This record gives sequence, structure tokens and C-alpha cells, in this order.
Amino acid sequence: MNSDLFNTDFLIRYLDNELSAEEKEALHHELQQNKSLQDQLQNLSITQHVVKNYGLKMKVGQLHQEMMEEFRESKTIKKDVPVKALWPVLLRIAAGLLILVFSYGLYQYATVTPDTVFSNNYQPYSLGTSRSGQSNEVIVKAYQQKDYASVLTQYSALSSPDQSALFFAGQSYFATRDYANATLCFNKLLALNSSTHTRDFNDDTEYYLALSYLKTNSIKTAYPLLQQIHDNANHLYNDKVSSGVMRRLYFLKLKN
Amino acid sequence: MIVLKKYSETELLAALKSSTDIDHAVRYIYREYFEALKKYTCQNSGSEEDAQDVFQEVVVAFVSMVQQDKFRGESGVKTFLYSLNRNIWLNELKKRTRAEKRDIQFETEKESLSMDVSHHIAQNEMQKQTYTILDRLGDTCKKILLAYYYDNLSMKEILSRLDYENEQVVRNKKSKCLKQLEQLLFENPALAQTLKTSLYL
Repeated sequence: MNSDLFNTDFLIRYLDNELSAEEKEALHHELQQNKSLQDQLQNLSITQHVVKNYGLKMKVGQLHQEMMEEFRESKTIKKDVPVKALWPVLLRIAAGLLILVFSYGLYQYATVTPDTVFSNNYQPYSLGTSRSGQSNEVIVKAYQQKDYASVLTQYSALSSPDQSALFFAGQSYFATRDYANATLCFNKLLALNSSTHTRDFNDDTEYYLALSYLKTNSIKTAYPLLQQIHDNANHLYNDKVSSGVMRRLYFLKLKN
Repeated sequence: MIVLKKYSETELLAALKSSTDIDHAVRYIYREYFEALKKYTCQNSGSEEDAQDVFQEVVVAFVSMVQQDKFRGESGVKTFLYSLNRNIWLNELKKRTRAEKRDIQFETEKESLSMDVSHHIAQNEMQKQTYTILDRLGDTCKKILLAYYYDNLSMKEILSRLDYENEQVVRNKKSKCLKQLEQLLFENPALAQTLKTSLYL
């Protein structure tokens, strides 16, 4: 075989395993006596190895990116774990708050009395200027002067007291702590309003009637009346009957 | 749900030599050993990024040695990877600091290296130089050479991926690229010598 054949392309074909058996044998024979050819073959073989190694580096680089992404994602998931671990702490806090609320409720339940509810809500009825010039001016004037005895005397003299007389009489009984008679007057007023389809002193009367019931320990009678005031946003005394008041009343009702 | 394959050491080495299973095997190495090896780098003045780079080098070196049957199995895979990781990182630290203290530490630790690992350390710098040379070769040449020598594609398959007239043209181009790369690699006598001694040790 002509030794000119053993050029670089021939060596590459040899390394790529593309030579025939005859060509391989000829090359092996030539290599044994040709140092330069040996060197060239070695250099080409190293070059191929460098390419393979570069390919491996690229492949691992690609997988490296993929794996780092996977680890980043799993770290993100792991970051959620402390949130999960917070649950027992949150539950403990919630349980603590619940105990606190329950204890407060228990305290309220234990300490609530008709008097505490009453004193938190009672405010003596005061006459506005708009109320002047109405009927029963003498009664009104006496009430303004806190002359409750005079109010009641004049009220007793009336054969058929109107709403105004009934209201101030009720307030005077209330002020003198005669809650039974105050309740009587207020109930008469409401009945009169109902029969005459009027609402004179109606909201004031409902509120003070409820307070009178509280004072006479008639919680079950006071409760629906105050509930009605609490539920009616347009009621004059709605802001006085808060949820807290209703809660305390509820405890009172339970206790009674 | 993806079921992750577990490999015995023998299966792992076989998979790394196979062209079809190598991706799974490399992923397995990452999942099994990255965290432990990262800890070593991070505990020895390395950052998270350093740990990732070092581990990538470890994997390339390990797979290359396995594929060339140069992993002698004197130690288990884990121990061997740990040694590679430690020595690549210490070598990197040495380069970075050039501090006498670290030189002493490195030299002391290097004494305990197995032959396999020592050999790799010698190859490491040389490989980086060859990567730089390959990058100078141009995209087309790199594609053809990698497709043929790394992906083991036939000329027909390479032709279907590239815009050439026929297989013979691709074949000629491949030879031309290989010759060009050979010239680039061996024009530097120092690198040529290192390549010869490293690859034929």
C-alpha cells in the first residue's frame, strides 16, 4: 500500500473505525516504523478525547442547571414548612385568646348584676328646651326643678292623665326609686300611645321602663324590650343599648 | 408523581458509561451527594456558588474517569466524590489566596490523595484550557464534532440537523474541523505536552 495514503484523513477514518480490515492492517504495519505517524495519530486521538470531554462538560453543565433549579424549588417548598410549623404556635395563641375571652365572659357572668347594668346605663331624664310650651306645664316645670313630690301630687289629681303627665310621673317615681309605680306609669303611657296611635315619649318610655324592670329584677321582661331597642337603629336610645349591654343582660337572664 | 431511580454503585457506574442512562445517573449523583459536598465547601471558606461550581467540576471529572475506565474503585463512590470535591476546592483556594498557610494545608491534605484524584487535579487546568480553545473553533465545527464524537450520531442524522448538501460534505467538514482543532491544541508546546502526559498516563 502506498505510504502517501496514510494522511490525516486516513488516520481520522481509522480512529472513527471506518477502515477496512486490510487498510487497518496496512496502517498498523506503517505505524510500527513511522514515529511521525504515531505522533500524528496520538494527537488526533487526544483531539477526539478533548471533544468528548467538552461534550461531557456541556452535558453536565446542562444537567447542573436543571438540578440547581430543582434544588431551588425544593428550598421554596421547604420554606413553607416553617409556616406549617407555625400552626401549633398559632393554635396555642388562639387557644390562649379563647381562654382569655372565656375567662372574661366568666368574670362578667360572675360579677354582672341588675344594678351594674343599671348604673352603667342610667342617666336621669333631662328636659330639652323643645319640650317646653307643652301641656301639663306645671308638672313639667316641677320636674325641671326636681320637685318630684309636686309632680306626683299634681299627677294624682288628674282623672285622665295624658302621655306627658304619665311620663313625668313615671320619671318622678323613678327618681324617687319607686320603680313599681314608675313601671305602672310607663306601661300606661305605652298603652295609651298604642290605643291612640301616637308615639309621644314612646322611645324614652321604653328605655326607662326597661331600666325600671332591671331595678325590680324583672330581667326576663326587661330583656326583650332592650333587645328591641338594640335592634332598632332609629330608636332614640339605640346607642345606649350596645352589644356589651345585651351580653351582660344575657348573663343576667341566665343567672335568673 | 416521578419515581426517582435508586442505583447501586455498580449500576451507577454502568449507567454513567451508557449513552441512554447517563442523564438519570448524573441527576442521581446530584440528588445523593450535592448537599453533603456543598457543606464541605461552604464550611471551608466557600460560598454557595463556589460549592455549585466545584460540584459541577467533580461530576465532570468523575464521569470522565468512569467512562475512560480510570475509576479504579479503590474507594466507594461517595468517598471518591468527597475526595475530588475537597481537592478541587483546596486547589481553587490555593489559587485564590496563595497564602502560605493554605499551601501547607493543601500539601498536607494532598498527601492523602489516591492516585485517581491526583491524576484528576493535574488534568483539571489542562481541560479548562482545552475548553477555551474549543470555544474558539466556531459554532458549526463544535456542533458537528460534538454530534459525531459525543452524541455518537451518524452522518445521516447530523445532515438532518445541519444545512449541508449531502453526507460527504458533512464528513469533509467534520475532518476539517478536527484537523483545525488539533492544530489549535498542539500549537502550544506546553499544552501539547500536558495533554499527552495527562491523557496517556
